[in-house]
Amino acid sequence: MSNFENLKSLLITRWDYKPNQVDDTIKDLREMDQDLQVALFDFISKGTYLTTPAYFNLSPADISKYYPSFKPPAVFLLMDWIKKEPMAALDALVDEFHKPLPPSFDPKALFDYLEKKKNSDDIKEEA
Amino acid sequence: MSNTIHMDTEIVRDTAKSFYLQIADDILPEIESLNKQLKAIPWEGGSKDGFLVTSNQLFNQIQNVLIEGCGLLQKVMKEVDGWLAVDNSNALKYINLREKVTIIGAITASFAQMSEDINKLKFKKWWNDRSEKEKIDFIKAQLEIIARKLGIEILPFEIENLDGDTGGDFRPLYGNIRIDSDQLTATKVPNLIATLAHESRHKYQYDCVSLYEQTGKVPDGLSIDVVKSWKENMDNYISLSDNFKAYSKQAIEVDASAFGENYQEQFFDQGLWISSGGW
Repeated sequence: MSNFENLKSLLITRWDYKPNQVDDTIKDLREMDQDLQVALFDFISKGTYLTTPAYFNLSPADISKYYPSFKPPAVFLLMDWIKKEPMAALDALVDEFHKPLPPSFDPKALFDYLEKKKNSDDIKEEA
Repeated sequence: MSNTIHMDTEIVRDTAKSFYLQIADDILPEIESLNKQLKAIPWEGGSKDGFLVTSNQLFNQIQNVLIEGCGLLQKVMKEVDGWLAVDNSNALKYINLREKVTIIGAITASFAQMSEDINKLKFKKWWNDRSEKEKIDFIKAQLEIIARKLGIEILPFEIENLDGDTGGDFRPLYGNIRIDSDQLTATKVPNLIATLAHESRHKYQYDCVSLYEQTGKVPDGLSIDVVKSWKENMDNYISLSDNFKAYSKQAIEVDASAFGENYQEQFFDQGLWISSGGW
C-alpha cells in the first residue's frame, strides 16, 4: 500500500477531513512538489514541522505557527501554492487574515523572483 | 538611489510636537490669565457686564480654535506613527503596485490607499473613544445598513472568542453571525467592517439559493449559473483549515470577499462613520 493510501485514512481519522473531500485532497497532495511531499511524510513520522523547504523565507514551521488554524496537510498545500503562484497565494493570505505576512517573509526574495520571471517571460516572447 | 517618496517622519513629528507644546503650555494658560485679569478690573457700571460677556465669548472662541489645533497636531503625530507601522506591514502591497499598474495608475492608487489608511487610523481613534454599548450599537447599525443594501433581514450576532484566525462566520442553521472578540480591539477593528459585510453576504447567498430552489427564479443582476454554483459550493464546502487554496477559490468565498472588501473600501474612503453622525 502506498504512502498516499495510508494518508487517506489519516485525513479522516486524524484531521477530520470529510470523506467526500479526501480524493480531491489526495490528488492535490500528490501534485505537490517532491520536496514538499518528502517534508509532509517527514512531519507525519516525526510530528514536527521542518524549516525546509522554504520559499521567500517561509517554511512549513513558519506557516503553521503564524496561521494556527491550518491543518497539517493544508500547511503543505499552501507551501505548494506559494511556490507555484506566489503573488496569488500571498495576496490571498493578506486579504483573508488582514495581517502582515509572517515576520520571516522576505519581500526582496519575492521581488527578485518576480523580476527574474518577468525577464525570462520577455525573452520567451522575443523568441 | 531610493525611488520611494516619503515624509521625513522625525521632522514632521518634532515640528508638530513643538507646536502642540507651545499651544498647550504657553498660549492657553496666557489666555486664561488674561481673561481673569479683565474680570478683576475695578470697573463699576452696566457696560462692564456687556464687555465681559463679549470678551468671554472671544476668549472661548480662541480657546476652541487652539484646542482644535492641539487635536490636529496630535493627529499629525499619530499619523506619523501610523505610517511607520503601515510601512512595516505593506511590503507586499507595494510590490503589487509596482508590478501590476502603470505609473499614473500607481500614483492614483497610492493616493486612494493613503486616504483609506488615514481614515483607518482616524476610525481606530474614534473606536477607542467609544463605550462598550456604543460599540455594540455601531455593529448593529452597520449590520442594518448592510442588510438594507443586500435586501436581507438584519442578522443577529454574537461576540465570541473564536478559534485560530477566524474573524467571524455565518451560521446558516442559526441564522446568525459570530464575530471574534479580537476584531473589536483597536488594532483589528478596521477589518470588522469587511467581516460584517462578508458574513452578511453569505446570508444573501443562502437566500438566493433558497429562492431559486423554491421558485426557479433568481434576484435581478444574478444569473442562474451563479446561483447554481453557489448551491454546488454550499453542498461541498471546503473550509479554510482544510485547504486554503481550494477555500479561496470557492464561488461563495470569492463573491463574499469581493463584497466585503468593496464595502470596507467605501466605508473608509468616504469616512462613513463620520458622515452618519458618528453614531
